[in-house]
Amino acid sequence: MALESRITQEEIKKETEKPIDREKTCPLLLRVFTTNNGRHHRQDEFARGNVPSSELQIYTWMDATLRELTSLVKEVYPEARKKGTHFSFAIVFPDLRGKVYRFKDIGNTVSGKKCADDSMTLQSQRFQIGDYLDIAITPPNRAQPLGPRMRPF
Amino acid sequence: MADEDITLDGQPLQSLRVADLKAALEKRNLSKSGAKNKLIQRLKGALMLENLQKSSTSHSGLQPNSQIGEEMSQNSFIQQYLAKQQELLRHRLEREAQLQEEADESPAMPEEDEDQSDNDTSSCVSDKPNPALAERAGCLRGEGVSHRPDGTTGHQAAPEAPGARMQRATFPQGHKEPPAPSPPRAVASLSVRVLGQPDRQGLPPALSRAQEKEGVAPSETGSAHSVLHLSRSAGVSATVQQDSDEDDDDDDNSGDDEDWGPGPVGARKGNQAPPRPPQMPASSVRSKRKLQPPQHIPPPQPHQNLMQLRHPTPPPSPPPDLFPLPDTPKQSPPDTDDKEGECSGAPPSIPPHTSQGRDSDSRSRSSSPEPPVKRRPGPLSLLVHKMESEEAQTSAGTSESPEGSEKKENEMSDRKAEDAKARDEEELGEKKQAAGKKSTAGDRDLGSSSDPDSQSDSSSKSSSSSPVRVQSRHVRQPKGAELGQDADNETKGTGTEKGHLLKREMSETSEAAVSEGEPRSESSEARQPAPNGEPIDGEGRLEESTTPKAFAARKISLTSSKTPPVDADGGAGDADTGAAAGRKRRWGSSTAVTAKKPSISITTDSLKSLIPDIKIAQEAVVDLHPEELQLSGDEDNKDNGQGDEDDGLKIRRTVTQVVPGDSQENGRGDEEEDAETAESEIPRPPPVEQSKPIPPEKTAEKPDGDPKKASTDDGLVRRSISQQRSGVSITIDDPIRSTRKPSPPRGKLSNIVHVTNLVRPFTVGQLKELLKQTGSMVEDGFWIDKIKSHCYVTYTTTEEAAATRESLHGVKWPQSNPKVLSVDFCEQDELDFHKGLLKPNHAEPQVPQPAPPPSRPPPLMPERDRERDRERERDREHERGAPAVRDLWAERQRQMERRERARGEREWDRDKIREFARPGADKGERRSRSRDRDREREKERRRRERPKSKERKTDKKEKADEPPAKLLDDLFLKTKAAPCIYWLPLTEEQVVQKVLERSERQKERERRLKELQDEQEKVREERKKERLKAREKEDRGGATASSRAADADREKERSRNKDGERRREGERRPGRPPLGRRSRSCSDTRDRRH
Repeated sequence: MALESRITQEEIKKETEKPIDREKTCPLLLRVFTTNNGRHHRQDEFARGNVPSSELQIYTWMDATLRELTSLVKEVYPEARKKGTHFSFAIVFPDLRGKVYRFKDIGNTVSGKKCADDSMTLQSQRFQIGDYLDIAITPPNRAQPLGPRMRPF
Repeated sequence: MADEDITLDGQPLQSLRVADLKAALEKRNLSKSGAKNKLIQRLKGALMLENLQKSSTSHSGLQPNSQIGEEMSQNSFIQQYLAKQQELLRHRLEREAQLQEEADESPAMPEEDEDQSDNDTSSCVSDKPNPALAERAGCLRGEGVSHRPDGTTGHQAAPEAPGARMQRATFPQGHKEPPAPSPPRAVASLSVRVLGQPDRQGLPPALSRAQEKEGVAPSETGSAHSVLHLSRSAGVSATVQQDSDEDDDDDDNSGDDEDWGPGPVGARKGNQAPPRPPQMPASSVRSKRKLQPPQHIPPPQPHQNLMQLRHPTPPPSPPPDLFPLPDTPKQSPPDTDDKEGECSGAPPSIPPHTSQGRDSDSRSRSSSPEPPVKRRPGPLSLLVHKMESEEAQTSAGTSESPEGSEKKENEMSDRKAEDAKARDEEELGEKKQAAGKKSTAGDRDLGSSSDPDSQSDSSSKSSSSSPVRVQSRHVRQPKGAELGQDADNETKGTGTEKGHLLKREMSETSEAAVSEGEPRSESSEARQPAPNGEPIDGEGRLEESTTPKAFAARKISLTSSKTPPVDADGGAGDADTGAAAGRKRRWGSSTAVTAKKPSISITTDSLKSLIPDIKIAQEAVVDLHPEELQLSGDEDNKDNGQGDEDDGLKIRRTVTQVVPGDSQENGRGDEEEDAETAESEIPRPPPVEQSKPIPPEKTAEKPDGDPKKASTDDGLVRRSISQQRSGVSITIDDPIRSTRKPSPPRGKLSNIVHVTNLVRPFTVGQLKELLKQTGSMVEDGFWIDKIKSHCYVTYTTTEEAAATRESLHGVKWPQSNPKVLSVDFCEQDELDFHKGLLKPNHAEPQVPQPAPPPSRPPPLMPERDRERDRERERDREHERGAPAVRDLWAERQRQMERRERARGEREWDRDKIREFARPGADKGERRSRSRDRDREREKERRRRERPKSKERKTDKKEKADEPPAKLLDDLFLKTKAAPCIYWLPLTEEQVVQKVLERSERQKERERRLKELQDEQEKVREERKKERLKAREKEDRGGATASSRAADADREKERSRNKDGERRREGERRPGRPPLGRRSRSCSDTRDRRH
């Protein structure tokens, strides 16, 4: 048992903490789609080879953290720099069975505050190269946009 | 004025030794009994008489005016003043001759003489200061004018030998009080602003003195300078002389004096107060400085008339603008007058120089015990040289200055003795009256000392000016008493006289109260004058670089102020006189004083509110105060050294402090050594102060501690005063001294000074201006931290650095600064470290030190550490006395050093290493010391670590901030497609690996294909077998029909099977080969996710 547990831990570490030499590893193209209304895009907006118009193309690596991505987004969108702005991250990946894309929420960050998901990496969320990233940006002082009924997917 | 000018053989009386004083007295057939102060007073009186006799003919317009003309000829005002003063002096001489005769006949005359002397001093002061004042401030001029007339009268009084004696004795006090305050204030404001003023001031006093004592001229010149600078230092003599002048100024300056500091303020106040009463006491004072001149006239009733006559003439013409300068000269003249009076009283025939020499002897004697005197000699000598070179006449001034110093000494330490002397003098005859005056002066001095306390208290309470006024009133009263009465009876006689004066000047104070107040006021006057003189001196010192001496004078004044309470006890006795005076003030003051005080306070407040000029004066005073404080400290030291009984009590406090101060000034090197050596460090009383200055990095910490430490009783009062004053308004550059004595420097004497506890608002330019007052600083040797909390200053010479420390340590600057500046010496390494040129290597030397004796915290400077190590080693040797032990230690140290270096000198390990390195054999003392030192070390360590941690943080930030050296385009290849994709060619290894993988996949694929084929073949074989079986059955059964039907079924089954196989194959074909990685991985990942 002990051996097994060790092995599992090691494997986990390898998967999650595997350091990436950003000078030797090619960056991946991360297509980020953002919304500023606090909601993620609809599934059908990704259907049939279509993508939302609000696209950011980020070259990054698998060990990129949500905080890092947030900072990149804030560089592009000054309005997102306001303290308290809420970022909700979701991976958009194609469903094998159909021609539909599916969403998977991976974490949230808030500009100006520390969040538990700040250090979350794409790798840890089994992001695969080619997947999209959808970020729902909620301006500060706005009620939680996602009610129980308003789930994006 | 005369007091200051009076000198024996060119030395101020105060600076003379008791033996010299006695010798001089012997020559004049005067009694040698009594304390130094009394001796000095006697000598002064004799010298004064001599001078008067000699100078009576030549007095008019001789020295003071000429000096003024030379110095201040720039200003037309000054010239006019000089001319007027000369005229006044002539008149005065004539009057003085008359007055002397009268004085001999009646005590009242002496009073007049005193007033006159006051006037003279004021006039002299006005003449000298006038130029400066006119140049600097017109406001002060009005005061100066009033003083000038007084000064002229004073000159006149000088000629009157008998009266002069009495008057002189009193005069010095009165003069000191009034002139000192006014001139110092004006001077202070001016001096603070302008460096050159002090010199001018010094010159004027010399002139006045010279006028009074023509014969003494050479010595007087020196004395005059000394008076200017020393007047503060000498305090008593200078103050006395100044008082008369200051009386007018006192009203105006009272606030200023208070601003300066409790001690000095009190002294000034006292000085001011005494003159006022004789002239126009409280009412005039209350009315305002402008009124003061007339006030001077009234105090001595008979003399007052004379005075008034005299005053009107002198004051109107020159005084107004020049007053501040005249004040200083006035101060000197009173001293001369006193001396002259004494001289005339005993051996008028004796040449002034001889008398001066005697005075100097007496001074030297008195001075020897009194710290201020000691210090004075230096500044005095400097001043004397200047004066001599400038004016031959100033010799009288020099004599006066010594007298002033003597007076101060007497007042401070020998006041009681003076009283006794005064009694002795009374026995002598003519001198008796003088003695009475002197005793009164001593009482006044005591009272002044006590007054300063009360003043300081009052000042601390709210209005500093109020206390000053009170003192001034008292002073006035005492003067009257002095005139008519002996020391013991002075109060009563003064009461009557005072009553007259009071009636004239102030009906407020009752006679009894007046009488009580008189002694006190006198004492206060004497003390006050000293402070006044001190401030001036301080300015002069700062400018001239005689700062240390000036400090001494200031300190003296402070001591006087401090001592007053002690003196109160000895009201009857010489030693007790001071305490008695303080008590008297309290008691008598309770009735008269209290009543007076409130009124006074009101006046000051009203004045402040009404007159902006007053504020200016206050500011000036404030500036002076720090100097005074320093001087007071020096005085204390001197007093301590002298060990006078009364003064001793007062001084004793100061003495303890003084010793360190002396050690600081003179033995800074010693202190440094001590600091270096753990042993020496321990004994030092003020570790906190040392620590404060030493740690440059911890400015905030040090400042807090310093102010606390610095804030002694006096310091507290001063602080309050300073705060009040600061609240009112002050020039930015005026430092307020909150602590009397600068604590001994912690660092070695060097030309680099570390100033901590700086608090904004102030500009670097202002700070530099302040620092440049005491020396020329190396421009690139100046460093101040970003928040301007502490700075390093490099002076061209160590003397300048020492002077800076003397002048600024324990000083409140800027005035809004809640802390007290801490100034200490530091070394080049420290400065370089802060400049970023050098990084501290503390750990190495410190760690190896097993040093049980490491009393000090690890010094910032590696050199120090090394020195400490050496010292420690020495200590060890001493303790153990065995060289072998030493060797062991050395080895240990080396080892430790190696280890530490290996570790990389972790700061947090230093203590451990030290402890480890320390020999357990260390003695208990060392341990205790080491504990203290350890604490200090810890503090220092923290200080050091802080900046280091900051540095680390900054480094991290820098790293983070560093932009990626290479861009993605440089690192990777990218596709030409719209959204480009970066890619890199596979390396050889990767290629090989890929090939292997691919081959493995191929094999896998083939294997699976084979398996499939095998399975299919098996299935076929089975079918064939079944067919064969079926045919065989049919053949056997013979039934054709049944067989046919069976065949049909079999065929159907076959077809079905074939279809099934085809379907399977069809499904497989479109999909990727089963071994395809991609499809598998994709499905796997998806499965995992979902």
